[in-house]
Amino acid sequence: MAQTFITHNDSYNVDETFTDPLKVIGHVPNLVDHFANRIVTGNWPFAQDVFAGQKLFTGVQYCPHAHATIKSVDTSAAESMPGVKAVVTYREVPAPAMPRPTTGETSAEIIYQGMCVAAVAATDPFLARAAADAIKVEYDIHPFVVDMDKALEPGAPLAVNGSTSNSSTRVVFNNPSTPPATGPANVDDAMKTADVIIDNVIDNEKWFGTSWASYWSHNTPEPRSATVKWVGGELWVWSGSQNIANHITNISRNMGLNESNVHFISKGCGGAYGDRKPNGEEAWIAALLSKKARMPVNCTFTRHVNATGGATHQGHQKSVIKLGCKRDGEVAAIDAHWYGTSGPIHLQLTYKTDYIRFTSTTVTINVPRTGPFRTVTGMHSCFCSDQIFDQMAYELNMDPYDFRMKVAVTPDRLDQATNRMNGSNALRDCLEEVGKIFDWKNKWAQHKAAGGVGKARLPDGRLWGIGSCYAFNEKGNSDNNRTVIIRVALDGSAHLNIGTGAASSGTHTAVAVVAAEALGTTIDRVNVTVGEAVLAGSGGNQAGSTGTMSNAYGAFEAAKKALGRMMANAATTLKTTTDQLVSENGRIFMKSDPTQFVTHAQAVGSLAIIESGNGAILGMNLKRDYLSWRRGQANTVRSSVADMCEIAVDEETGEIEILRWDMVDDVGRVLFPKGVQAQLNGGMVMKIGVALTGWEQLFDPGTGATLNGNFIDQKNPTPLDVPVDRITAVAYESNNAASVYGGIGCGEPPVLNYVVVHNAFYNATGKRLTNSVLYPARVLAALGKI
Amino acid sequence: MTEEKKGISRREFLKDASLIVGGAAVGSTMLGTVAVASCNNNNNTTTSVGPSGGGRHSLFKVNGIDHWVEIEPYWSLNFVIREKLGLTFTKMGCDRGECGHCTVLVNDLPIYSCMMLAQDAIDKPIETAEILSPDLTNLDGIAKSFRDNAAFQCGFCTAGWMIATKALLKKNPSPNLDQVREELAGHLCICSGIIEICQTVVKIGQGG
Amino acid sequence: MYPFKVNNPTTVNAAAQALAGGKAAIIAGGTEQLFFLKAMHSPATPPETLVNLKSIPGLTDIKEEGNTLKIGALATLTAIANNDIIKSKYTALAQAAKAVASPELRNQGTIGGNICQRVQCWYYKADNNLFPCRRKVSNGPCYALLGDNRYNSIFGQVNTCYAVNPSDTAPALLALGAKIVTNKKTYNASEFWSATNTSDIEKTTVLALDEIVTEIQIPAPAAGTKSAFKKFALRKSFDFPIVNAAAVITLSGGTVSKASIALNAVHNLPRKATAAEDSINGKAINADTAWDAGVAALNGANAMPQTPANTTWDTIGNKYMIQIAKVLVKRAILDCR
Repeated sequence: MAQTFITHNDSYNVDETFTDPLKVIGHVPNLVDHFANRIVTGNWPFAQDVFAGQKLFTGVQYCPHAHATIKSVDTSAAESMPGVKAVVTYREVPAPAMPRPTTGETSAEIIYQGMCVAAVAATDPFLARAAADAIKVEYDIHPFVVDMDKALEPGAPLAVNGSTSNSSTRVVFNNPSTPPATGPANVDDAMKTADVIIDNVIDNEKWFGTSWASYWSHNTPEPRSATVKWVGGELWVWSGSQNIANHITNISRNMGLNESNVHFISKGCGGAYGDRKPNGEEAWIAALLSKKARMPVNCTFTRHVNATGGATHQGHQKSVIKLGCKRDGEVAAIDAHWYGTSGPIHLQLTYKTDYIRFTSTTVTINVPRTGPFRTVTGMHSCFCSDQIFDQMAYELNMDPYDFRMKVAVTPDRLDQATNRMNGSNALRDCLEEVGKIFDWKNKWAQHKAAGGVGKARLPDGRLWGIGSCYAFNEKGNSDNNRTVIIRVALDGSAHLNIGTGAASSGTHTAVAVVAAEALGTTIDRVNVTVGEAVLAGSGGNQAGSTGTMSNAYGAFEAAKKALGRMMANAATTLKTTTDQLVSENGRIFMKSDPTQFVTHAQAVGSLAIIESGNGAILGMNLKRDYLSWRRGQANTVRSSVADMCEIAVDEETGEIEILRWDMVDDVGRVLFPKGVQAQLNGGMVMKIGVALTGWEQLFDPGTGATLNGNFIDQKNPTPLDVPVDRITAVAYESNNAASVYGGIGCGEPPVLNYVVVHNAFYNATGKRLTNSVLYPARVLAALGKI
Repeated sequence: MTEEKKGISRREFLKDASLIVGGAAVGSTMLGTVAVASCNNNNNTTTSVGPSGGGRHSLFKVNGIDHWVEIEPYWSLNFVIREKLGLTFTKMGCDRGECGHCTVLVNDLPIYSCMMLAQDAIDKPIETAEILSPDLTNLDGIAKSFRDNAAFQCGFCTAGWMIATKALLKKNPSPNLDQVREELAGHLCICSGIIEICQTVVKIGQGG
Repeated sequence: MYPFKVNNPTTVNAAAQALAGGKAAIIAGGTEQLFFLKAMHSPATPPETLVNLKSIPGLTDIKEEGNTLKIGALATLTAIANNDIIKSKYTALAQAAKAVASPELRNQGTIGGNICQRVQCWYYKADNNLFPCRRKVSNGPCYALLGDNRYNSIFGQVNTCYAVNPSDTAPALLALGAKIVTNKKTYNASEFWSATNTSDIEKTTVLALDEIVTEIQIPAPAAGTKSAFKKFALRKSFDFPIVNAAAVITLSGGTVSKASIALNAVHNLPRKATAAEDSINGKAINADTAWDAGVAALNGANAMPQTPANTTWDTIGNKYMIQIAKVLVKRAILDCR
C-alpha cells in the first residue's frame, strides 16, 4: 500500500503557490459574454442550421427487427420519387459507422432495432422521409433477446450470430489481493466477522440486495445531425460532437483522405455528456449522399432513430450485492456481482473497506448502445449500490446519516481504483452540509416521533418519508489527452483554441477564466474557440466531466508559457529580472513600483505569441492547504455529492410528490458562479426524470423494438413536474489540490444520487423498490394496493 | 387590419383562383382567421394549393418584415422559417409537437411551428426568437435576462422558451413561479435549465 | 411525410364534397393529422389532399343560446379552457380542455379534432409501421397482447383491438350529455364513438367519409349541478391520459338527484359509468360513497394478461389502471360537493 506521488516536469515552476488573491476566478458571474450572447441571439449554429436553404435533407430507413440479417435492399421506388437526389445503402457505409460484428467488411447482421439500412437525400425532409419509407428491405429474422435476465437463461437466443454465449464473467478485483498482515485474509473470511449481513436473496416480503437500473436513453434534445459539404476533394462536416478528433480520424481513414483534409466543426451541441455520436452514422450518411448528390446534405435523425444509439455503453445494469457490517456500522465486507456493461465504481470509491470483491458479467443483448448522457454509468452504479447501505443503517437501528458518516471513505484511504491517496474529506463534508440545509436531524426525530418507517403521515393522510444518499465518484477528474493553443495578439488580447466540442457552455468559460487568471488579464480580453479541432491539437473527448479539468490544465500551461515570454520581454524593457515582475489586469509591472509597467500589448512585441499546453498536471498546490496536504501530493480527483429528499406518497394512486430536495456538490472551486449553479440545477431535474417521470428507454418484449423513441412516451420532466421552489442545490468548494485553481468538473455529479428518492420511499412505506423508475404502478404493487 | 386588402391584392397577383387569405379574427381563437370568399362569384368556391413542382408565392410576415416565398402545400411553418427565410434560431427538435423547441408566435399566440402547415400561417403576424435581439451586441429585455441569468445550457431549446416568454409577459407582465411553470409547460429542457429559466422569467416580471 | 395538396373550402358542403372521394382527409388544428402523416404509421395509402376546415367561417363561436351551450367544432382548446361560461357552468369541460397536451398545442388544437382523435396505443402509432398491428393490417397481431400493455385497455378488446381512446374532452362531453352536430345529423355523445363495425376496425367515430363535425351542443345543467374532470398521467404536461374521468352531479337536499359519470383512456371508446351513477344516486357525497361509486365504475375491468413471454424486467402491466380509475371517479365525485 505504498503511496504514489505524481509530479509533472515542465518549464514552469511546479511548486508555484498562488499567494495573491484570485482576480478572475470566482468573480466572473456568468458565462463569458460573447459566447452567451451567441446562444441567446441564435448565433450559435447547430448542424441543422448550416447552409439554410442550400442543402438537401436525409430520410433514413432503419431496421424494424431487433435481430436480423439483411437479405436484399431495393431502392428503386425511392429513386424515382419526387425530390430525390441520391440514395445510399448500408453496403457503402463503412463498418466503423455501423456497430455490427464485422470481419473487415460491412456486415449485414442487425443486432438491435433501429440500425440504419439505407438513406435518401431529397430537396426537403418530408420528401426524403417518404422516399426512405418506400425502400424495400428483406430480412432473415432471428430470435432476439432484450432482457438481461432472459439472456442469461440456458437456451436463451444468442444476441449476436456466431457468438458462443451472451455473457462472460470475470472477477475484476478481489481485495485484498494478498492476505494482509493482520485481520481476515479475504472477503469471505471478513464477511464471517459481520454482525449483520444483507444477502442477495429475493424475498417477497423483505428486499435484499438486488437492483435493476433502467435503460436510460441518449435521446438528446438536438436530434443527432450532421451537415456535410465536399469542397475540392476536402470534406467539411458540421456536427455537434464531443469527440471531434476521433471522428476526423475515422472519417479520413475510411474515405481515403488525409486527416488534414477533413474539417470537423462542432459549435452547437444539443445535449449529451458522453460522445453523442460514437458511431457517427449521421456524418457518414451525409458525406456519402453529399458526394453523390454534389450538394451539401444534412442528415438529421428522427426521434425514433435518435433514441437508438448515441452512447458508448449499453445502459442496463443489475447488481446483486452481499453486504456485511459490524454492529457499530463498520463495513466488514462487500461482495458485489454486476450484470451489464459497467461496474460498481461507486461501491469501490464511496464506502470504506479493504474487503471488496467485484465480479462482473458482461451481457450482450439486442439493444443499442444508448445510455444516460450524463455520467454514463455513474448514476445507475450509485442506484445499484446505495439502497443496500441505506437498508443496512435501518438493520443496525442507526440513523442513516450517522451510518453514512461512519462508512464514508476518508482522506487517509487509498483510492481503491487508482491506488493513490484519496486525500479528500469532501464526501463527508458534503453530507454534513446537506444535512444542515435539509435539517436532517430534526426531521429524523420528527419522523420517528410520528411512527417511523412506514407509519409517519402528513396531515392530509399521505405517507411521509425522508431519504439520504451520497457518492464519491470518478467523474470530475482529468483526461490527459488534451491540447490547448493560445495566441496572444499584438494588442495583448488572448485567443485560445481547444479541440473538443462542448455540450454546454461550461468548458468554454472555464478555459477563459483560467487563462485570464493565469495570464494576468481581464476576462473581456480573452476569447475561446471550441469545436474546431482543425485549428487545435488533438482534442480528446469532452466527457466524464473532464472538460474543465483537462482543458483548464492545457489553458493554464499554454498561458503560463506565453506569459513567460511576455515577462522576459518586459524584463528587458524595464531593465529588471522576471522575478521582480507581476502580471495583473493586462499589465506587467514591477512589484516594488507599479508605475513601472508595460502593457501586455507592449510585452508581446512585433510577433504574436503562440504556445500550447497539454493535459493534466497533478501535484500542483494551491494557496490554501486542505487538511494536511503536502506539496507534490496527488489527489485522486474525485467528486463528492450528497443529496437528501423528503416525499409524500399517495397510497391511493401511487404518486410520489417531492416536498423538498437538497444537494451539496463539491465542485472544487466555483470558477464562474452562474454556470456552475446551472449544472447543479440541471442535475436535479434529470434526477426527477430518471426516478419519477419515466425517463427510460423501453423495449417491446414481443419484438425487441424500441417502444418509446419519442418525447411523449419517454418522459423528460416538464416545468410542471419540477417543484422549482422546493429544490436547493449548493456548490461546495474543497479546493481540490490536483486541479488548476482547484476547480473540478461539476457537470455529472449532480445526477448521481437519484436513488435518494428510493431511500425516502423506504422511510415512508417500509418497502424497497428495486427498479429505477418509481412508477405509480410499482408503488401500488409494493403497497399491496393492486 | 388590412388582411382583406392584402387578400385582394394577392388575388390579383396570382394567376388563377388560388389561396385565399386574410379576414378578421373571430372571438378568442387564434385560428379564427377566416377566409374571405371574395375571389370568385361562386360563394362555394374551394381552392387548392398546387402540388409539388408548382409551389405558390405566399406572404409570410415574420418579425415585421414581409417575405414572399414559394411554398409547397405540405411544408410546415418551421421548414419555411428555417430553410426559406434563414431564421435558424428556432429549431427542429422532434417534428411531432412533443418538445417545444420549434415554438414561434402567430398572432401573439405560441404554437409549435412543426405542427402548423406553412399555408396556415400566410399573411399572419409571425414572431420568432430573433425578434428579441435586434441589436446583437447590446442585449436587452428577455435576451439580456436569459444571458445574465444563465437561463440556458446547450442552447438548443432556448428559442422556444424565449419567444414563449414574450407571449407570456404580454399577457401577464408579472407572473409568479406557478404561473410561469403553467404557461411554459409546453417546453422541455433536457440539460436541464428548467430551474434557471423559470426563475429568470419571474425575475424579468419583477423588473430584474 | 408523403406530399399532399391542401384544399381550402369556404363552406362545409364544399368540404364534404372534397372528402367524398375517399382520397382526402380533414385537417383542423393539425396537431393530430400532421403527427400521423409524418409518422407514416400505416401502410394505407396516405391522403392526396387535406381538406382544411379553418377556411370555413363560423365554426369557432362559443355561445349560449337559450338552454344550450353551442361550441363551434373549430373552437380551440385554449378558448374553451378560458371561457368564463364554460368554466363556471360546464366546469368538467373547461378542466378537460385545459388538461390536454400543452399550451401551444391547445392554441392550435380544436375540440372537433380532440373528439375525433384516433384510437391508438404506442404500437399503433409508431413511426413507419414499426408494428403492423391489426388496426392497420388485416389479421395482423395485437402487439399489446404479446408485449407491453401498460397503457392499454382494462375493459377488454373491441373488434380484437386493445388500444384506447385518448381524448380528454370526450368523457366530459359524455358526462355532460353533449350532442355532436355534423353536416349530416346530430348524435348523442353516447352514440358518437363507434366500435361496432368489424370491417372498420380503424374507425374511431361513427362519422362517414364526407361527414364533418360542425358543432357541439351541451344542455344547460340543472340548478344545483356541479361537474369536475380528473386526469391521471405520469407527467403534468404533454401527456395523454392514462386514465381520465368526468362527473356531473346534481345535488338536491344534500343527496345526489342526478349523476352522470364517464371514463376514458381505459377502453377503445369512452365509457359511461352507469353502475357508478346508480351507486351514488340518492346518496350524500362523502369519501365512502364516492369510493363505492368508483369501485362500481370499474366492475368488469380486468388487467391484460402478463406472461413470461410478454414481460421483461421493465414490465409493469396495466392492473394499476383499475385502481387509478376508481380513485379518479371518487375524486371527481368529491369535487362536485
